[in-house]
Order: sequence, then C-alpha cells, then structure tokens
Amino acid sequence: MKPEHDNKELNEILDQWSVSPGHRQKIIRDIHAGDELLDRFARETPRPQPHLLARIQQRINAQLAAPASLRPQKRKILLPLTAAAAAIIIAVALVSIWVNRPSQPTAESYAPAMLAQTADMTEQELDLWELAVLQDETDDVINNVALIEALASS
Amino acid sequence: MEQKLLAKMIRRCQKGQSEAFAWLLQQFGPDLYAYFLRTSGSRTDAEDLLQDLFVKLLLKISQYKHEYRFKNWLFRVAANLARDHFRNRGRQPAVQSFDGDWLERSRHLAQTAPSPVQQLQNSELLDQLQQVLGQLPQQQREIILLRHYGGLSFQQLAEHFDIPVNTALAQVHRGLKKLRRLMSENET
Repeated sequence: MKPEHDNKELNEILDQWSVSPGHRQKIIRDIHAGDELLDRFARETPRPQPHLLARIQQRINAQLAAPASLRPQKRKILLPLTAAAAAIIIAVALVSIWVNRPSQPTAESYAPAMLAQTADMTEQELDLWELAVLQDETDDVINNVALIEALASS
Repeated sequence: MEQKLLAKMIRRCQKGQSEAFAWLLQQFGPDLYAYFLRTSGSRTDAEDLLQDLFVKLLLKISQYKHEYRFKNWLFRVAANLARDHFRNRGRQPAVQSFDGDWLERSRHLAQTAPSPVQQLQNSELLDQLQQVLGQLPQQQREIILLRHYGGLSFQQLAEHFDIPVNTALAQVHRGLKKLRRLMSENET
C-alpha cells in the first residue's frame, strides 16, 4: 500500500543527502522492510461491518434529503455570484453615464450653452458669473501681452 | 481503481447524488476504517470517525479539485478529523490495544483467516502491532499510518504536517525501523 512513485521520490530526496552509498541502501532497505510488515498486517485488519456501512449510508441519505444540510454550500456559491452581478451592474451604469455625459461646449456650441446655463441663474448669480468670465478674459489678455513682450525682447 | 470512473463518481457526489456516495463508501470505507482503527486503537472510535467523515464529506467534497489525487485528499481530511476528534475529547488515542473482547475480534478475523490456529496467531500479531504503534511518538505514528493507508508521498506528508520533506523521510525511516525492532523483540 505504499505510495506510487515512492522509490523515485525516495531516491530524489536521498540524492540531496550526503550519505554514503552503503547508508543509503540501508535506509531504503529499512523503509521497504517496514512497508512489508505493515502490508502484512493490513491484510489481517478487520473490515467495517456491513451494518456500519448501512448506517453511514442512511445518514448520508438523510442529510441529502434535508435541503438545509446543503445550504451553507449553496450560500458559499451564491454570495460571490451576487457580488459579481452587483459589480457588473455598477460598471454598466458608470459606462452608460460616461457615454451619455453632456458634451463640452465647443466654439460653436458655447453661446447656446452659455445661454442655457444663464437662463437658470438669479440676477445676483449672473452678475458674479459675468464677473468671473470677465476676470478670465482679463487674465487671458494679460497673458497674451506678457507673451508678446517676451517674444519682442527675445 | 479506474481514474475516469472515480472522477465521474466524485462529480456525481458533488451534485449530491446518494448512489455516488454509496460507491465511495464501498471503495474507500475499508481502508479508512483500518486507518482510524490503527490511529485510535478503538473500534468504537473508528466507527464514529468513519461516520463523521462521510457526513463531513457531503459538504467538503465540493472543495475537492480534480487535479489532486482523491485518495490522498480524502485521507488528509480523515487525519484532520481524527486529530480534532481526540483534541475535542481531551485525550490521546487509546492505541495500546484494541478494545472489546477477544471473541469479537477473532470473529472479525475469521473473515480472512482460514483456520482457528491462524486466527489466534493473527489476533495476537494485531494486538502486538497495536501495542508497538502506541510506543511510537504521536507524530511519527501519524506519519507512518497516513503514508501507509492514505498513500501520501513524502512531499505531501511534509505539507500536511508542516515539516521539511527531509524530516518527513527521516520520521518514516526511524518509525518503521523502530516498529520492526519492537515487533521482533515482542516475538522473542
């Protein structure tokens, strides 16, 4: 009953040991003799009685018949599946939002977009917004002047 | 045992088919029983452990991956079960000798032994072996029995007991050598 490929594995391990060939042979002989001894006793070992096997089979059948007995196993499978499904739904929703996002105003669309934006604003908000736009434009002018001066001096 | 048939039966077990479990019980029950008997030294414990193992297998078998050898996997589950069983009961296995009366033991042996004289000799030898196994250190005994009945390789033993593979081989060598020495001492 010793494991398959036992001799091969035994020799591979012994290859790594620094043992003399004589000692190596002795180890292999000892192990084989021990295996033979256990084999001899294995043949004489009592077998399980039929009524024990029948009782075990009854318990297995009873467990299989009760759906609750397999519930933990199902839960184990269902839980990752539910998590995966939820992750897919969230991913699809995010992609959908990204695809349908409002496009950035281009030069052509800027004016209508601005008008649409300003339509919902109160007068005070509009003033503040115009001030900010004016500030941006002023910054642009300052930047452009600085650029021209830099080019002229170079 | 044909590996294709075994794989098919395991898949059926994983689907919860009762007949497939019955087949596994017929195939592996005797070796597992012998392993539990040698580990515990008690027929009552061996019977309890075999029952518990198959009930546990109902849930555990879904975790079995077909790339591993089933018998090795099964015996590793059995070894863990036996260890938990004795730990929970707060005692070491009664490996010194078989429990129960002599008549019952010889009745078991009658199934394999042809004559009453041989029955007696076999029974005495089995008792001797059980006593000698009880004299080995616990881990050494477990390693020897798991290798012998479960067919675990030295590498698998090393993984199971979390020891280097060289130590696993050394334990097997020392244990088997001691087993033979003690048996021959008892015979003289």
